[in-house]
Formats: sequence, C-alpha cells, structure tokens
Amino acid sequence: MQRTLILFLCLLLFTGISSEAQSFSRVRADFIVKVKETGGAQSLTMGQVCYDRHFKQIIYHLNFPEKETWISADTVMYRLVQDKVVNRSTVPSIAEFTVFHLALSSQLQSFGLDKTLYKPEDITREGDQVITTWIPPAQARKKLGKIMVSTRNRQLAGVIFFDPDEKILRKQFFEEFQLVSGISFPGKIVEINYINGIEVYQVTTFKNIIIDERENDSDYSYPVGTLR
Amino acid sequence: MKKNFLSICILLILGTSALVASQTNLFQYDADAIENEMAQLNQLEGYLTDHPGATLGELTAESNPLASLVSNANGVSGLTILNDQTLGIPGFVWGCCLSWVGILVVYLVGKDPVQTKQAIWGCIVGSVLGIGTSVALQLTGVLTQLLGGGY
Repeated sequence: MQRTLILFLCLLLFTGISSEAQSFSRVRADFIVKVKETGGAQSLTMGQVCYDRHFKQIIYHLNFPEKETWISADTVMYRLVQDKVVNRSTVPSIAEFTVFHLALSSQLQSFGLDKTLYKPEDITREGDQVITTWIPPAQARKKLGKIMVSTRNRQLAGVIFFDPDEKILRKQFFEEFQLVSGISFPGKIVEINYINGIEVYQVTTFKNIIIDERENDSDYSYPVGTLR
Repeated sequence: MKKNFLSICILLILGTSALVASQTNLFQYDADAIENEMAQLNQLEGYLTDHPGATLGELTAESNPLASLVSNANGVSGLTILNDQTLGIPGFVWGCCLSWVGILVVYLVGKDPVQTKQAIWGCIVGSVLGIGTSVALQLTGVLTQLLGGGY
C-alpha cells in the first residue's frame, strides 16, 4: 500500500515536472537571413531577435546592414535608429505566425495545421520520414491547395505548399535542430519560393539560442507606448 | 484466377511504393546548388563573423568589395524580387514567418472578427510574398465565404 502511494506521488511529481517543462515563453537567438534570386539580386541581414509569447513583441536588433532595431508590436512595426523612431507602419499582427511562437507553444511539429480547418488526408511513412498531406476544407478546395508536411524523429522536416492545380508554390526545410532547455528549435530554415518562374532562395540560420531567459526582461518587451 | 489476383496485388504494392517514393522525392532539394547560389553571401557572412559590428556603410566607406555583393542599400528587404517592405514589414522578417497558415488558426481558435481581419491581411501579405497576388485575392474570397460573408 505504502509502495503504491509512493509510486503514485512520484508519478504526480514527474507529471508536474513534465507539464512545467512544456511551458516555454521566451526565445533569444542570433540570426542571419540570406536571400538570393536565381542569378539575381541578393541580400543579407544579421542581428539578434528576442520574443516573449506573452508580450507578443518581436524585437530585432540588426547589426547588418546597419545598426537599427525593428519592433513588431501588435499591428505596428517600428523602425528605430539610435533609439529614435524613424519609421512606423501599420502591419498585420504576425507574432503568432512565426517560428518562435510555434516552437515555444509546441506547435511546430504539425506546422500549426492541426489547429486549422485543414484536415490530414493521407499519412505515409518512408524510412525515417512521415509525410502527412493536409487538405483544405471542401468549400475552399477550388482556391486553396494541399500542404504536405514531413517530419523526421518527431521533428518538422519540411513543408510544401501547393496551389489548387497541384503546382508547387513554396518549399520550406527545417534543419539542424538544437535541443535547448528542453525545447527543439531549428537552427536553419531553407526556403525555396517559386515566383513567376523564378526561384528565390532564402536561408535563415539561428545561433546562440537561449530559451526562457530569466534576466534582461527589457529585451523582450519594449515600452512602445513611449515611442513618438 | 489466382494469377490475376497475385498480379493485381503486385501492381498495387508497386503503385503504392512509387507514390511513397515520389512523395519522399518532393522533400529533397539540391542543397549544393543553394550553397553555390549563396557562395558570395557566405563570404560576406564570414567577414562579418570576423569583424563583428561592421556595417554596410562602413564597408562602402572602406571601398570593401564585399559591399557591392548586396544589392540592397538598406538591406531590410528579404525577397528582393518584391517591394522592399510589403505593408511595412521588412523582408527579413518573413524568414521567421510561417505564411498564411496562421490565418486559419486565428479563425478557428480565436473566432475573433478583428483578429481574423488582421489575419486575412497577414494572409494576403504572405501570399504576395510566397504564393502570388491572384491566389491571395482568391484566398481572401474564400475566407470571406468561410467567415459568412463579412467580418
């Protein structure tokens, strides 16, 4: 009886620890975004990003091409140079669509699709890869194409977007996952966009990833109300 | 009869294997080709790693040949084939965004008309960047239908 009680308590304790471990709020990372059109223009942006999913502000401190700060807060994008606002635009709220939010809220594996109108139509396994084909709701099939999601070792590996005619629009590959403080975060995202017959490559890399940093609160929440 | 049944089974197995194989192939890409395309940017990245804090302005002032590699003076553009900033969002931000999937998340989970409207906006932007304007417009129509004609 006593043993059973101890076992039960241990189970409760570990369950508690486990559920606590699933709750992540913050991510900080150094990032580099490189973009190249096939045989065309190219750009490089480098800096550090901070995100707290409770504040829903994405704060980018750019080092290159120039030192400036970009803050996405609700529906406003601020551009600051030397702490002064040089540009302010009304934008769609993007925080919840980011890799940061999906990773912190453990939705990355399904690409967040399990919380949408899309339904899994087919699941196939090939080697270590599981491919799920998600189809849009019936009333939207003339407009929306399917989305194929590949996972490997329970990690998101790739996503392919199709148009309704099964033409590939975009491919995204999630690689070099790093396990940081119990959370799996992609170190590299390779994206191939097919736009008017031109391929545009975008490679985003994340380094020095810190999860749930307890210090430096001000880095995760900018007092945008004070910005003029 | 038995032979026919066996043949059908073999054909089915082969067909399924081919389908699975073709699906797996879709998730392959030529990493070397992309690396080649990124060669110059990798060179610039290497320089910036060795010289932390260097800006494009400084490279230009020093007449560093690496400065000419990036076509965009303010560099905030991601997909240079498009506008530098679509609806005020710098291109580099889209590297961290997962496109218009979020719109349906907002619709289903939030069921908040204001949020949905914002999400539709996000959807349009995402579509313009990655899918194409016509699809984006069609998508907006679909979502209007899904939302019951208005928001």
